[in-house]
Amino acid sequence: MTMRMMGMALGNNVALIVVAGCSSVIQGMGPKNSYGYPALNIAFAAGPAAASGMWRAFKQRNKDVTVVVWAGDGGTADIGFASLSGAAERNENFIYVCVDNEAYMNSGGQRSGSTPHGAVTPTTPEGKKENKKELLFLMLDHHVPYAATASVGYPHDLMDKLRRAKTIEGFRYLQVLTPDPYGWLFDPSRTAEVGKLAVQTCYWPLLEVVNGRVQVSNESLHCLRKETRRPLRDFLSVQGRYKRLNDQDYKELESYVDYTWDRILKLMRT
Amino acid sequence: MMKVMSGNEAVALAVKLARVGVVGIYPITPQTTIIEELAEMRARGELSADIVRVESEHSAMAVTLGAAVSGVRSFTATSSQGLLYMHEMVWWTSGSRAPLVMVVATRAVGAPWNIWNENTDFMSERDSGWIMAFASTPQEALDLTLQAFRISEDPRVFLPVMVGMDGFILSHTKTNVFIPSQEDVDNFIPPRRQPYVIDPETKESMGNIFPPIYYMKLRQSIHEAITNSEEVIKEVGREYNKISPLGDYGTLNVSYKLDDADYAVVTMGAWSLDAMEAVDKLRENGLNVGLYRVRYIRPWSEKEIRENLGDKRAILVVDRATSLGRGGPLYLELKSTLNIPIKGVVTGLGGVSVGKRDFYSLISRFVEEARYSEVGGVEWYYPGEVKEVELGTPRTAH
Amino acid sequence: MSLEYQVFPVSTPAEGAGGKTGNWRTVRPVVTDRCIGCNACFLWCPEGTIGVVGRKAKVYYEYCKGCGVCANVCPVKAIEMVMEQ
Repeated sequence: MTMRMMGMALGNNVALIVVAGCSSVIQGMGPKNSYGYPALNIAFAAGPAAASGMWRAFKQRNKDVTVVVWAGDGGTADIGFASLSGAAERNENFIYVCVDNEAYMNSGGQRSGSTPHGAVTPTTPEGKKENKKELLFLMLDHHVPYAATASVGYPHDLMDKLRRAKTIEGFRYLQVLTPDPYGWLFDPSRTAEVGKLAVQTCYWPLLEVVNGRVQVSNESLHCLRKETRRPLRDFLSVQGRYKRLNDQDYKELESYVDYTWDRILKLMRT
Repeated sequence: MMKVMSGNEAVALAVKLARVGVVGIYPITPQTTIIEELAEMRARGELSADIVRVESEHSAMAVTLGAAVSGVRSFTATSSQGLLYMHEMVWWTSGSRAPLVMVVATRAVGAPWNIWNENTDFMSERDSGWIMAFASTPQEALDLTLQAFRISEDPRVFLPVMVGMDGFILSHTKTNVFIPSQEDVDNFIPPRRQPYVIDPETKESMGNIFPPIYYMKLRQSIHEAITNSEEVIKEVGREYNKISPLGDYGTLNVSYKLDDADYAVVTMGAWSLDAMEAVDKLRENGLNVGLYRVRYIRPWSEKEIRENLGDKRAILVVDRATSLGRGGPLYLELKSTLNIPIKGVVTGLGGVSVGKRDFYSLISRFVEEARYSEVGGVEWYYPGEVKEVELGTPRTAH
Repeated sequence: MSLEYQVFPVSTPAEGAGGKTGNWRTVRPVVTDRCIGCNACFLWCPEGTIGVVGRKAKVYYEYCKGCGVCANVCPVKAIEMVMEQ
């Protein structure tokens, strides 16, 4: 879904680097593939570094090509984090898209650093005990010129952000929440709906940070005040992965949402 | 032009002469001065290459690969733990059929920590589908690196090339090196060729899932490209001979006083020169021995090796590397190539210093043995005063 | 030297390289007359197998997986999910 939206947003002059994940599989079998873009498929932890070499090669060949790294949350938060951090710190000139489905969905949905508290996965059958890793904030601490979040629930916002990212030079980070019906346990027809619920309940903030200036996207503006947020339960109850959630876990998740927004408010003030 | 320089400086100069576009760098002893030298050249404005100072060796190889598949000549260098850390990308690079060059200044592998010379790091990549050459002098490090770019980008090959050299012994020791002119090198290395380019114009992609039969064919293709590279290497070597008066690259490996020899010693790398001196001395003393120096571990030239060593009564293979539990890798390779008595020696690990006296005693003892008995097996040799080695650890001693 | 032995892990774009849907789809979307041609289904469809042709949405059944996202996002509920025979 996100891949198609990117196609609409970025136009033709794009080269992809796809690290191990679902997107390595949905291309289909060689020697054919189902992508309209040239793609370098590469090992899990190598995407940002390969992109660092690729955009420089295009520059040396005087070609105006937007290099995009396509990675899952496992490849971003866990095994590829050193490579991501290095490329962000060097302010390498490419767009990094993290397709965040909050687990290792390609290998069966095992927990990752990006899995939220309380979620049941094959490797956390009792529910994950820790909170989701704050990738966007971590990226901001790398002084990158552009960092944003989006959700497949709001494709226009997502495409706007990609278009804006394309005009900026340097390291651009976009994290897209992509609800996975098989890992999150809901009916696949509700994918877009769940993506919207995540935003409406303020679990997933839609933000855009350009050169350190934090901007809350329209769809998330109601989250700035606690009273106007939709109850978190509306997002959690449609998913089977939260079936083990007890009252304490629920409170934990609520305070996680509060914490996130407090932090955003603080960033907006500075 | 002649200039006194270390192996690392010679390699950096070769990278500059080859007009490399992107270099991925990450420091590790004893390779570090290659990348320092390249960064210096760049700062002085002598080098046009884009230098990417990455955060790990895994990324160094990924940067180099990313640039290579996108149409630009690229280079990286590493040692020891660094090579092991990038192991995954070493395979991904050959699997991608990306022409590029890496230099490995060899060093022992931990644990425990050891920064000194040993070839096990380099030898441990011999299954990975790269062309692998090993230098014996700073001159050869420069020559092989230059040739590596041309071999790598030859359509009959289209594979990455790894050039090894002994850490410290070559990387940090200065000798006189002949430097070919930029014009000669430009004529020697043609403009970049590669099997495909990742580019929105071609829309070609690399590396998605292929069905099993196709995957196996891709692997066989690498195998055949390595086998066929033998002719390419000799052809490139003969071309190189025309621009450099030193050394002879018309063959993959190098033989020394082998024609009339009954026995031979086989080595690789810098200590081959010590072994050659020992051979001279032994010949003075009436022992009919010669030396065979392996320069290319991949391709492994069965033909050349059989021609040069097939008629010997017995050979001694001295390895500065181990395949633990099985002896030295060179020894194992030769055992699978020749049908004559072969004895293996593993020595010089972790920087243990082995000199011409040691070669003299090893070879003379070997010939003595081979004359009167069937030689074979692997000996762990400790030189000089450390003949008696207590293998007990402090813990078992108590 | 013949270069026939040289094969590379390269692929080129082709329609349906991911494979046709086959017979495992259990429900299929059917567009009814209520369709207003707003393109919401086109925007969200994960497979790119529905789009507005003329003034009404059309489904490409060969590759449609029957996930039902289109029916869910349709603002006028013009798409019905029908059991496969």
